[in-house]
Amino acid sequence: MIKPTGISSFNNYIFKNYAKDSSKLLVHVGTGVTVIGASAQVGMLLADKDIEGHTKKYLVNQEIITSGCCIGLYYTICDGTRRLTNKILEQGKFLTEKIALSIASLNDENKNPKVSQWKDVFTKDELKKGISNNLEHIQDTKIYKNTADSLKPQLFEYSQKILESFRGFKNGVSVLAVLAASIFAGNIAGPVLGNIIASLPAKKDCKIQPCGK
Amino acid sequence: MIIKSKSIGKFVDYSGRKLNAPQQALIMGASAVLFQPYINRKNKRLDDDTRDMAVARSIGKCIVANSSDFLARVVSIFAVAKLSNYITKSDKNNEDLVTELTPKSKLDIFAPNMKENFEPRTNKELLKDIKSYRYAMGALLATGFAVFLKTTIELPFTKKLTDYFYKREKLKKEIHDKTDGNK
Repeated sequence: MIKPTGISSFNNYIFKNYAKDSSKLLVHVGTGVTVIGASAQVGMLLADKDIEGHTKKYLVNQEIITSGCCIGLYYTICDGTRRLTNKILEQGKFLTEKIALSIASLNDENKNPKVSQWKDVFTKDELKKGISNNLEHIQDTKIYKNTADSLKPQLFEYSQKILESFRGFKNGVSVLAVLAASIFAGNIAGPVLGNIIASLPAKKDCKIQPCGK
Repeated sequence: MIIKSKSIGKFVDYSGRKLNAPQQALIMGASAVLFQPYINRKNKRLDDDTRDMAVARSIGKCIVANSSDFLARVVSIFAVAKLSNYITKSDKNNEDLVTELTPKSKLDIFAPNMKENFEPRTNKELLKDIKSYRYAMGALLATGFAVFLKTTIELPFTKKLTDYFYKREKLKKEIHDKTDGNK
């Protein structure tokens, strides 16, 4: 038995609080790194004697405002995308043919399951709870209750297999959607918005010192 | 909408399983190098000199910041994975129920050390939780490492690259002006 040390109590705290869901911590950590990085860059710009006064002023403003815009957009766009993707997927509005067929085949009346039949497996009220929830708690669904007792263990096992592939698909779509949203928020919308706001005082400077001359 | 293409389904599945934090940092970095200098170059509200400096700085900053971010994440995830080996104890009546989680050796400094305060869970659940814990721990370690990199290596490298790209921007403009003058 290895004796607990100071670092193990920190490890235990992280395990207790974030082992079930590390995504929140990852977002906060990402924001922290952005703030630290921007502060360091501002410090570097202020210390740089080679950059001219009004250029330095613009670059410092740009760094602070763009970082602020990126963080704000990251929280709104990325979180919104994650929630929307989750909702769309859980309602079955975006599915693979393989998963749709697997869900359709949960109903033993569907001898030759077709893709469109997956919707008939769950009731409207059940569908509102999401596909994952219905597959995970298949015992609470109408289809399970209507299945012969002898076939119930088989149905449960099969539903857990479908749940695993659905979660894999959901995770993949989520990762890709949030990555695309991050690129848009952090590399396109943030810098464009940051440039517009940071350029306002620079534009005033340009009126005094004609631009491009 | 039903996706009929098997290759799209496989790609989505692969992305969920294999697209980890360092790879995401690389994709973000590559797109930053692609978009941010272009956005700065198209900013017509600035005078030429400020614009050239902004373009040069965005290229330099994107390359250095994203490379160091990638490095910090790779090193941290690798360190946490290697130094968080653990051993478990199961319930006497139910082998699938884990009741204790302790480090495998003294070297495993990132492994939780939980005896009485460990909430029992199944082996499958524990594997999932450990994966998530390692991600969280890796991210925390990467933050510390990133702070170190940002304040030591990143700043001088950003300045060097900014100066290099600023000179290139100026050179490009000179060549462009000369060609225009010859016409």
